[in-house]
Amino acid sequence: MANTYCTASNWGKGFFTHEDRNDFYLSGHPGDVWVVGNNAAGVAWINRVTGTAKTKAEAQAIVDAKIEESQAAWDALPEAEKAPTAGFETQTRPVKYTLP
Amino acid sequence: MATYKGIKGVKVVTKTSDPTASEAEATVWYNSTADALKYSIAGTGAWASANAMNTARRGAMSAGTQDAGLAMGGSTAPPPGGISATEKYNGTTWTETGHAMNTARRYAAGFGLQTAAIIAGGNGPPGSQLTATETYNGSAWTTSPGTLNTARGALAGSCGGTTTAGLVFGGYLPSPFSNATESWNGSAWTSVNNMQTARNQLGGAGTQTAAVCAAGNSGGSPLNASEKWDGTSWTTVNSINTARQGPGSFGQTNTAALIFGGEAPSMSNATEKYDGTSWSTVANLGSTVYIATGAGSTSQGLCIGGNPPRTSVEEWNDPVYTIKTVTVS
Repeated sequence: MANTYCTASNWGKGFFTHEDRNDFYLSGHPGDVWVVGNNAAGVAWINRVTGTAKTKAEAQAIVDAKIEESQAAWDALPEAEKAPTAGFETQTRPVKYTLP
Repeated sequence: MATYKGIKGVKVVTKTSDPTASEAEATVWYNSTADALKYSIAGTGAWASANAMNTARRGAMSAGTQDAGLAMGGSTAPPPGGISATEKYNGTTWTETGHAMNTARRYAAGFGLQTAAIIAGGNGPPGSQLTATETYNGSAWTTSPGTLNTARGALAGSCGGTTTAGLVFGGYLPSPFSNATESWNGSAWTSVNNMQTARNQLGGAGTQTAAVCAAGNSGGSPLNASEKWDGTSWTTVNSINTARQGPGSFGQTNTAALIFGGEAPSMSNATEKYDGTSWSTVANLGSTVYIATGAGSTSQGLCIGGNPPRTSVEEWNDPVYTIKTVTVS
């Protein structure tokens, strides 16, 4: 398995370092979900940040739920603000994606 | 017996603790506390988490460097509405300056230094685009009598510009997209040659006479087109690898720039580096982000805020120095 999954709250400086980024794959997603390379450095990082382990399906469900919240917020905007000519005031409707 | 000095011509210095990795670049030392021989190597560039700002912002503007940064304005909530608050970064902590811009705004162009910054244009009250220009001296904002010739939001600026020499380009008009380019001389904006492709939500870097832009939107799918400014005209150059809109960007010249995040069409963490000829994919941001702002250089830079309005910040370093221990088997 190439990646492992957890949730952890980013506290700022030191949460992930430049060295971490060169030692293992890491990407953050909505809902404080982190996809972590499954090697010794990645596992040590999860322990360091007291991450809560998740299966890929659990992590994907958290991300999906956060995106659905964003989609609902977007859908509730006035139509004028959702038009392409609204010009950068609102992003396009959030899109779901599959975690690596 | 061969000695290290005999081979390399220098002695191995003894230290009780390790220097920082960057201080120790290309040196070898003996750590007497750890009883270990150590050295520092330079690795590829990477992003790291940084301490958060005090105010969540999307579509903010920025200036300065990684150790002396400035975040200006932006928007704090999904419904349109700009803020005037400014905060500064010392490489560790963000502090509210207490100096409010005269015109609250988001999606403007901003550049300069922490104590000598400029902002121009942007979106004002909902549905309006601005021409107003303000300068900051570290103590107060002053509205300049020199206004943009073309009111617009979601434009880009020359990250390496100064309060006396800068460039802004592209943006959103009611018409709706702009290819207008304007040059700043410290007191007035002058219209110069247009970009090849009108667009908003683009990334920009460089100076008044050597700038580069990439990405954006012209009303359809996100763009991958990139253009280079030589002080007189824009030329289409090699495209970025991941088409996107609303990226962050920074860079002090048109031969060294970074673009990151954006919508492609889902939120992206992809980062690309420009070397004056082509864009290459480099290490991703830690998190996906849209409408972040960037400050600094391709050696040391900042990714600030983003949508939904967030306080998070990441630091880019290239190279990344790592301390290693010499192992003898």
